[in-house]
This record gives sequence, C-alpha cells and structure tokens, in this order.
Amino acid sequence: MKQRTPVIAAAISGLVMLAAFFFQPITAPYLGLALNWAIILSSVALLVAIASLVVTHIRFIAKGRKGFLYSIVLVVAFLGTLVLGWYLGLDDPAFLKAIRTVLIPLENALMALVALVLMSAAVKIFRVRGWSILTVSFGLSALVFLFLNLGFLRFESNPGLSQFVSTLQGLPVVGARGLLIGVALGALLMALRVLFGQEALRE
Amino acid sequence: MSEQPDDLRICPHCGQENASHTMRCIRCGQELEELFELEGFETTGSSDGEISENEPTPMAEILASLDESPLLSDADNEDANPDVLAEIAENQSDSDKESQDWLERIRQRAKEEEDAAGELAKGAIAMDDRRSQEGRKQVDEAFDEIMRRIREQNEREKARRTRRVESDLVDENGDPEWLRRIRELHPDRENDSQVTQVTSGMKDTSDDEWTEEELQELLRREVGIPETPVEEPEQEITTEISTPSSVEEGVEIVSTIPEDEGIQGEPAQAETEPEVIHNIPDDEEEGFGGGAEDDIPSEESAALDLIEEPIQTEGELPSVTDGETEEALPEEETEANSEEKISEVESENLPSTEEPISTKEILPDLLLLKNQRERAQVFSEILGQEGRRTIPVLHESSRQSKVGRLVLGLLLILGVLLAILIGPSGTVDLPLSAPAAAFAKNLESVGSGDEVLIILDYQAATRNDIEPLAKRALDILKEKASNVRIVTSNPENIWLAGNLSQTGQVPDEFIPGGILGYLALAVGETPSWGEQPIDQVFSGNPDLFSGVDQIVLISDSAEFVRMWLEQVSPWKPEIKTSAITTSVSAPILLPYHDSGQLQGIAAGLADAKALDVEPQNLVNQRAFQVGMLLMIVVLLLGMIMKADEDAQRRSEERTQ
Repeated sequence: MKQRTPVIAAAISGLVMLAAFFFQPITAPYLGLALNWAIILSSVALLVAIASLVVTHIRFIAKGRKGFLYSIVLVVAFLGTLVLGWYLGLDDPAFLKAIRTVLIPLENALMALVALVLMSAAVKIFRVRGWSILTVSFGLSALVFLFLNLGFLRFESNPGLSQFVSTLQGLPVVGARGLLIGVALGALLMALRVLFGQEALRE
Repeated sequence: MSEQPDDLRICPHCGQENASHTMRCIRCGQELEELFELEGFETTGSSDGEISENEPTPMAEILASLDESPLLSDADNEDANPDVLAEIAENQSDSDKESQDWLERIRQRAKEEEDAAGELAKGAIAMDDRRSQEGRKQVDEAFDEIMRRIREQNEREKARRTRRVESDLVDENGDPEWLRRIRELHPDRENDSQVTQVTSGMKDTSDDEWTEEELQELLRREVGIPETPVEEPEQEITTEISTPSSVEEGVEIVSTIPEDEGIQGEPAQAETEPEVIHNIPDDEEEGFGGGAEDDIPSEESAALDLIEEPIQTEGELPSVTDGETEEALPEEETEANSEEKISEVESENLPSTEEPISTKEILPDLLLLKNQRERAQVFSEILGQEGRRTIPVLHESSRQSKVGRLVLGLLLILGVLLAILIGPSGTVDLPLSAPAAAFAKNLESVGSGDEVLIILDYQAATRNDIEPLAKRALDILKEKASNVRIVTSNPENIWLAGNLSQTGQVPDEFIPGGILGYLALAVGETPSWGEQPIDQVFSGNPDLFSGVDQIVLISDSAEFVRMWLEQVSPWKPEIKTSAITTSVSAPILLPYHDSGQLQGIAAGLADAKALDVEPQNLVNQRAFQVGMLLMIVVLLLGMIMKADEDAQRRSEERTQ
C-alpha cells in the first residue's frame, strides 16, 4: 500500500489535469491553481536543495575533509551573493556588473573545457571502440558537417552541387525529427503507464 | 467313514455347521479331521490338536527323529545290544499286528469303493498338493532373494576390499604412492616420521574415495588401453606430480590416525600398477553414465567427481623437474621435523597455483582427449587472467594520455590565440538559411505599438552565440517602436539581460517555476474568489500574454523551446512565436519551423547575416574557423592513429 499510494495519487492528478485541459474554460481557474501548487512545491524543493548544499559543505569544512577549500569558496560565494543582493538589491548596476564579471568568464572557461574534452574523446573513440559502424559514421559525419559549417565551400556557381550540399545539411534535421518522434512516443507511453498505474507493477 | 451325516458337518471346535465337502470350519478354521478318519485307524497327534498342521516342523527335529528312527539305526548299529534288539523285535511284532488290522480294513474299503483312495481323500490330497506347491514356490522365491542379496553384498565387499588394497599400494622400498608424490614435489623436506603418519591418514581417507589408480583402472577399462609398463620412470614421476590434493587430504587428518596402521598393501600389485596420468571424461560422452560408473556405488561416484577437478588443472600444478628428486632427498629428510614438513607441504602446495605451468609442457605426458585439452587450455587462460583487467577502461589516466591531452589543449589554445592576434577578425560568409530569413521577415512584420514578449533562457557560456542576434533583434524592435516586455524564469538571465540593452536593465519580470510558471500563466485565469499565488510576483500586469502579438524566445536550450511550443503555445495560438538560439540547438528546432509552430529561427553566428549584425559585434570569426579546423585535424589524427596501430598489430601477427 505504501508503494501504491504515490502511484494512485499521480494517476488521479494526471486524470484531473487531463480532464481540466479538456473542459476549458470552466476548469481554467482550478487548473491554474493546481499549477501554482506545483510551482510552490518545486520552489520549496529548490530551497531545500540549496540549504542541503550549503549545510553539506559546511559539514565538510568542519570535518576538514579533503578538498574542503573548495567548500569554503562555495560557502563564501553563496553568502556574499546572498548578502549583497539582499542589501544592494538585484537591480543595482554595481552588483550586476560584479556578478556578470565572475559569471561570464567562468562559464566560458567551462565551455572551453567541454570543447577540449570533446577533442580528446574524438581522438580516443577509434582507439577504444575500434572500427565499427558507430565510430565510422560518427567520424565521417563530424568531419563533413564541421567542414561544411566552416564556410569555406561556396557552390553558388554550381546549382547541382549547391543542392547536394543543402541536402547534406538537412540530414541532421532528419535525425532530429526521428528523435523528437521517439521522445513524444516515449512520453505518451510513460504518461499512459502512470495514468493506469502500471508503474507500480514494475516495482 | 464319518459319523456325521453327509450334508452337514458340525465343527467340533465351535459348533458351526459346515458343508459335507469342507475340510475346514468356515468360522474358526478348525480342520475337520473326521473326514479323513478311517474306521479302525486312530490318529494320535492330530486328534489331540496340540500340534497344528500349519506349524512347520523344525528341520533339526526332523533330523533328530530320523536319527532316532529304529529303521535307520538298524543298518548302522550292527553290534547293538541284544536286549535292545529283542525289545525292538517285540515292538515290531506288535506294530505288525496292528498294521495288519488297519491294512485289512483299508483293503476291505477299497473293495467296496470304486476308487481305492476314495473321493474325499482324493480331493484332500489334491488340495494339499496344490497348497504345498504354492508354499514351496514362495519359500523358493524367498530363498532365492536372500541368496541374491548375500551374493551382491559379497561382491560389494570384494570390490571394496580390492580398492582398499589398491589404494595402499607400495613400491619395492615399502613407500606408498602418496609418499613418492610428496618426495617428487618437495624432495628437500622429507622425513620418515611423517611418512608413517601421513600414510595412516592417507589410507583411512582413501577408503571411501577414488584414488588415482582406481581412476586409471577405470580409464583403461573404458578406453581399452593396455597397462603401461613399470619400467618407464618418466611416467611415474609425472603421475606423482598430478595429485597433490590427495596428499593434502592425507595431511589434514594425520593427527587423528595412529601411526601403526600404516602401510597395508601388496607391493607386487604396486609394481605392476601403471603410472599413467589420465583424465576421465565427465560430460562429453555417456561413458561414465553408462560405463564403469554403473558398477560404482553412488557415494563413490560422487567422490570421483570431486577428484576430477584437480585432474583437469594439472597444468596449473607446481612445476617439478625430474632431476631434483631423490638425490637430495636423504640429506633433507634428516633436517626438519615432521610437523613442520606437513605445514610446509600444505603451504607450498596451495599457492603453487599462482604460477601455472604451460599446458603444452605437460601435454605429452597426459592422456587427454582433444576436447579436454581445449577445456584445460581455456581454464588455464582464465586462471592466468585472474587479477588482470580484461576490459579496457575508457578513462584510464595514464601518463601518456595526460601528455597527449595537454598537447591537444595547448595546440587548440595556441591556434585560437594566433588567429585572434594575427590578421583581421574575418567574416562568416555562409548562405542565408530559410529559417533565418523567415525570422528576419517575421521581425520586420512587427508594427509600431505591437506588444512583443521576449523570453530569456540562456547561459553565459553561449552568450557569444546568442547575444549579438538578440541585441540586433531588440534594436530592430526599438526602431519599430514596439512595446517590448522582457521576462525570464532563469536566475542567470537576471544578470545577463544587462548585456542586451544599453541601459543595463534587468528583466521586467521574473517568472517562478520555469516552464510551469509560463504554463500556469498561459492556462490559468484569475478566479472569482481571488488571485493566483503567481500573480503576486508581478510588478506590472500579471496577465503576461494579454495583448501580445509576438513572442521571441531567446534560448540556448532546444528542450526549453520544445516545451514552450508543445505546452504553452497551444493555449495562445494567436501569438506568433520565433526563436533565437544556438547553432547546436538549430537542428532540433527546425522541424517545428517546418510545421509552422515557429515563425523563424535565428541560430548562432551563422545566421547573423540575416539580421545584418555588424561584424564588430561578432566574435572573431577567424578564431572560430581555426578552432573548427583544429577539431577536424584532431579527428583525423585519431583515425590515423588507430589505423597505424592496427597495421602494426597485423605486422606483428604476421611475424609471429
């Protein structure tokens, strides 16, 4: 019963929301109210997550755990942002500039690291995975589309070749369509399983 | 004949009336003796009823009565006492008179009746004959069953005794088989005192288990191999190496067995016993199932299965050279005491499996089938791989890989830096895409005073791909004097929104709850009983979508745009929606443009041309191109390295 209760609640909630979507505009206020409840719950969950993060790192600092210096940075940055934002306000230009000065280089550096890791993975993928359909198709497609997006090739004088290149560039869209259809079907089936309580049987 | 009338017979025992032809009372089972009584003939024993007819007379009494019978004793006792003979003669004369009387009656009766035996007598005799035949048959069957059991038990006992004798085989020096094996394995740690102890332990433990010799005998019986001559010393040595497990078993129980029970066996048999390592098939054929194992008791066949394992792993046994055997043995025997040797034998036998011998070295001395050899090879390889990594680790951080990654990173940074520092920034000259052109056209359609809702949802890391386009779009909208309202549900955009406008403002509204907040605002209506909780966070009009003509999604997340189009837009179908996104997200969103859900898509710097973004507002295009070229080179490098490794491996295989 303890396992079935959440599933029953989820199924009833889904059915109510589905009915509310169909019986518009009579059910519009109730649907908005239910969505507001969900927003409040998710906001509270976010607060709990922030509190848990801070408490965990404070505990790391208190115990002197390995890498606790990073925990000190995190706690100090969090408290500084909180206090400054509370004191100066979110629309203070100095506060906004200070945060932006830290935030933008930090995320750019992370993105550059991602690019580096991707390069390393591109080198290793053939050594680790060997020659297979997956690796060969990955390598060829990466080479082709990287080169096409460089902008070096211009085929305006040759309409046939230009059409061929544009067809090649449309291939990712084909894959994206398949991906989206798969996602939609999966979400639909998952919703049906939840509505009919089939998720409880799996446990 | 009988005194009773012919139709009914009354039982003298219980009074039950029986039919005239019945021989026993139907109530109490009492035999109706009167039917068999003849006139003038007195039955002594049976009439008394003391001895039942069903009770079998003991054989001893019968023999004793025969011995005491005067008829039999006459021939034997020729020199008997004359008094006794006279007495016997008198008795004989009396009995002769009586016999003459009843014989006369019988003869008279026979004359009167047609059949001399009489009808009732004939029936009784026939029934007695039948009953006696049935009883005799049962007795014979029971006797045969008992004899069969006795024979089987005797055969089992014989087989058991034979095995015990074979297991206690000793050589011409009086050394048992197991001792010779230990000497071969550990020639430098031998002691005579230990010999006796281990012998006794070995003897008793091997009573109920199959030994090597028994298994050899079984294999010979199965395969039909002639016995190996004793004169081959190499095979003998090989055999001794093969079964350390039996030695260990003997050592383990040595303290519980007295020493004087030592060696009991037949040396002659030990000499003729062949020394051949065998490997009895266990599951590849039905040999064991239907062959020699049928003659083995169940518990012994189970022991046989246990013994098969060490036989299979002979390739893993410690290597012992033939030369280092018995020459060094006498010197070393006097040095150590027995207990130390036992423990050393155990301790040196057990870890010896860590250094397996190649199976090929032992194969010439083994009698293995092809299938068994392959299995032994596989087993040896498995044991050899113990503790080693068999699956390559993807993230193995070796020093070489770290250096390679460092070189790659330095190459990338150096190339981009050179591209930035040297020469002009360059421009991207790509053909204008249809979604980007549609976006520009949709933006141009915005009239003066139109309400445009800008939704921000991007990260600082992608700002270089988005913000030039977003800035230009906002400038166009400002030029058209449209009413722009910028909102976000991403806290990061509170600070990033200042990059989009010259005044450094924050977004007009912050929508809590992410996509749920937008959905609640799109779906929900203000109820009659009051306002929704989310309405309280707005500084301006809480109806976010009222009067909005255009919505521009500025997001680096295709997932966010997809959720908007699938969840929020259906509730506001009259509002046109377009998106500014990154090049990475563009392929996912293009189907929505094809379906008409998105009016246009401006994706990254490649579409900057559609909005006429000034080159100085874009990032260095030459650095971008250099970075892309480096990625292509690295990818090709990975392919070439893999091809080179494969070529080297193939050449090594050819040379091998």
